[in-house]
Amino acid sequence: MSALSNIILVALGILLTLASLWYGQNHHLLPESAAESAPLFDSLFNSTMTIATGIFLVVQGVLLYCIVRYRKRRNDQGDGDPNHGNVLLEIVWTAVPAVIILWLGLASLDVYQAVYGGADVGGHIHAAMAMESSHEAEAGDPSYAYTPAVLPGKDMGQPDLVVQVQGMQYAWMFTYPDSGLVASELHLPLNKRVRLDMTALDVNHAFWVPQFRLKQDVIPGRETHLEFVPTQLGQYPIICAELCGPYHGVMAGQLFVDTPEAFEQWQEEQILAAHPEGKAVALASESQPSSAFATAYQQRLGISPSELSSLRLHSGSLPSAG
Amino acid sequence: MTQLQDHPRLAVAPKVELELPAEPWWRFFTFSTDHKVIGIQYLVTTFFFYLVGGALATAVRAELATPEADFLGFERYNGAFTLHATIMIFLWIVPALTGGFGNYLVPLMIGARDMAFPKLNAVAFWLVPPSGILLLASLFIEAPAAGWTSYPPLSLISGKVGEELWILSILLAGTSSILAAVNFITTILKMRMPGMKMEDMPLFCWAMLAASVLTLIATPVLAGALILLSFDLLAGTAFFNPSGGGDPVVYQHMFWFYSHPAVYIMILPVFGMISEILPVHARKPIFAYKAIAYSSLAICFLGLIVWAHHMFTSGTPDWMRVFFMIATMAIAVPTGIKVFSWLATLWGGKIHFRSAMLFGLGFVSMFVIGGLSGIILASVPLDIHVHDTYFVVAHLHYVLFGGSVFGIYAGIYHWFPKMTGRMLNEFWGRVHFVLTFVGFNICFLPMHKLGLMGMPRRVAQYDPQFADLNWISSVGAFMLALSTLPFLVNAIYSWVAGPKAGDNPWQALTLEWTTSSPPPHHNFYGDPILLTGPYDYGLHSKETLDYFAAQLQTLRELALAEAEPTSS
Repeated sequence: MSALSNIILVALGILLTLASLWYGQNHHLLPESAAESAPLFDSLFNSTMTIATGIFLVVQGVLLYCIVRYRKRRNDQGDGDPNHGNVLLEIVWTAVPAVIILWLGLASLDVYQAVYGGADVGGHIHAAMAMESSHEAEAGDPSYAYTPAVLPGKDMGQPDLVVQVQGMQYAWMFTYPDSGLVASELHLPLNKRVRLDMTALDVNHAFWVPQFRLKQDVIPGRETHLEFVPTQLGQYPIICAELCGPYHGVMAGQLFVDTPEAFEQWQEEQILAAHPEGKAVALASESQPSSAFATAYQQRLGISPSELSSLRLHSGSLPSAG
Repeated sequence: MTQLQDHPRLAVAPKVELELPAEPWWRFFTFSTDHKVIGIQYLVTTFFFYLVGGALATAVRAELATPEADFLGFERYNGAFTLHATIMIFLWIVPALTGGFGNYLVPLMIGARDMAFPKLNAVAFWLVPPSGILLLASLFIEAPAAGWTSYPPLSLISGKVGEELWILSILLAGTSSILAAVNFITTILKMRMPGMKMEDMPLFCWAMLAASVLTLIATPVLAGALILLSFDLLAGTAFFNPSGGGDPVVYQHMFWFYSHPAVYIMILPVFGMISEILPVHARKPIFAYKAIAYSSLAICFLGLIVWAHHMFTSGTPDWMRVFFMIATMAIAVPTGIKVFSWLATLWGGKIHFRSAMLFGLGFVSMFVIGGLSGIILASVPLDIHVHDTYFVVAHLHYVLFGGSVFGIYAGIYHWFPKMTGRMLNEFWGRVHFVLTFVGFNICFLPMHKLGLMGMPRRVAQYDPQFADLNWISSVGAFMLALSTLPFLVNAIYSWVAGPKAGDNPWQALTLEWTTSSPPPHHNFYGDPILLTGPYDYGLHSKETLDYFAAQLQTLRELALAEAEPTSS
């Protein structure tokens, strides 16, 4: 190999690396990111895109080079070079992809643990839920032991807010257990850790917010979970990503990330709208801690706390009843 | 065969016709046990279903040309994409590759007279038309509408008749695959000509062996899942029905235990064909024969332990997600070995750009894109975002269209002269390639972005922000639909009136090219003889090869002379 061709090869290598690095950062293939874990996804995706671009350019480049350089010339009826193997080359192109996927596997594992923190995303079947209340399960189930401090400065302990999500053909329903509020829109406070406890009433659905880079199937007869921290104020689509019937494409909800104050205000407005007769209670709740408020609310409506929780449990296990 | 051997070799009769009388055309419509007839029966039947599936795809893309559900409407749209996927997988790619090319080529390549079980072979083929008729009937009665994955509980409530027709159709097609797989494994292991060791086989046979092992292990599990689903649907059991205590996720495990290996059943034979086609048209030995052969087996093994990567968002536990991510990524290694070996095969060659080679090169180029997006899908955190979006639709079409269908076309252009004795028209072959290649990329490249930006798959109506890219994609789809026309006309015209091909129009070295085009009923005149290795390009002088060809010609004359008295 001549010095000139060495120089050309090195120059091509540098160009290729630069092109891959540039495209890995400038692909414009993702929507804005709006959750704490989304930048982790984005950086993993960008690194993967960089590698993929590099491999793409190498393979297509070699292919194009062969097509041009080794095309059959006019009047040449001969065969090519009968070289049929090269052990060193074969070892290299076995080892290099192996190293790349090993790196990608470890990087993916890292991001996965940081995003999910070992949370019980897989969910558990309702039969198990019936035996112990969900709060006991949280305390006792070792799968709730989060990997500590994976995200610097964030405590991945108990979520600040739990919302129960129910998917049905072709709508989402959100229940805020602390206030008993049921809504068709999901409002979440900014920068608070949220856990969604999700189940489906009829067929499989999937809860997807592209801006959060998170998705989880919502399955009848089973509770699945998602945990995240919304970090950008705004309105985002909740897309059903699992085929759920003819109108699957129009099963879309709205997610609003509000400031904590706006979130509180929205909750109160909703409660007022649902129960105008409870206005006094709702107003009174402003000066009371939420548990006291709930008790007052329950007394006012003549519902005992146990009845209320059994009501919730019932709605959660609806699919197994019908 | 033994009769021929008993005859003294020297008795040369003067003026022997060099071909046996042509067999009647209507043999293609009979319960023939000739593997070549069965192979062509498979190819023509499945190509018909490809056209039906393509028409459905065109309807789907017409619906998606605009954001509103204004062409097919919501219900019919779900029926259309369900049938499109089902037809393309179970009635086109799987049977065309294994049943079509596998049947036609494997016995010829290993020097056998036929498959190990010829009647079973015919039974396997004749299960395909009823399977197709059931599925086509559902178009007019009630289309299945739960997607080709048919996940319960949706599949249990979206129409009993359509769903049951779908189940019965797949059960028939699956049974056909299993019977064919038994036949291929036995044939490859037991019917090779004397002196041909496993490592003397053309690589297509290795690929067929790997694909058949996968079929044999995985397909019965799908059959089991569908029978249980059928009970849930018709008899009111609750294997997968949560309202009776069943678990819909169990169905997903059983379904993907088959349907992921199915991806390899649909690509391994193509890997094999590409390993045949590239050396012939680049005039070079295949690079790293052993690595390619054994990587097929590695893919076969790994392909069986990656199914749950389709279920990363399904409520699978952590350990499962991690295990299946690592196993899935590992498949990149044997696949990479193949791609790099193909590139090395081209390197230093003398590449003839015939239509077969254009599709072969197109395959390598497109399949790499599908492989790279596959790596993204293997990574759990990345997959969670793109699962069930248009990114997956893009990926699977780069693998199954850019991969399998480009490979099938390459195979048709390469072996058409052998199968029919006539040449396809090169000009129209090139037109076909350009239209297909350009249309394919216009159609499927934009889908990557659609999925990443937030467009879910299987929707009739979508967010208007995705309108532009969808419109481009639909234009590409119409171009693809158009691209089949030059091929169809070319194939039909050439079959009837194309120029005669001769035994070996590409100067190829595998055994099927040493016999006539088309080959006689029992494939070879006299016993097949291995004069060269399958990939010995550049290793023998032109004089040697001419000498070999002359020898074969003499042997054929001898055999025909001997056959003459018995046939009259």
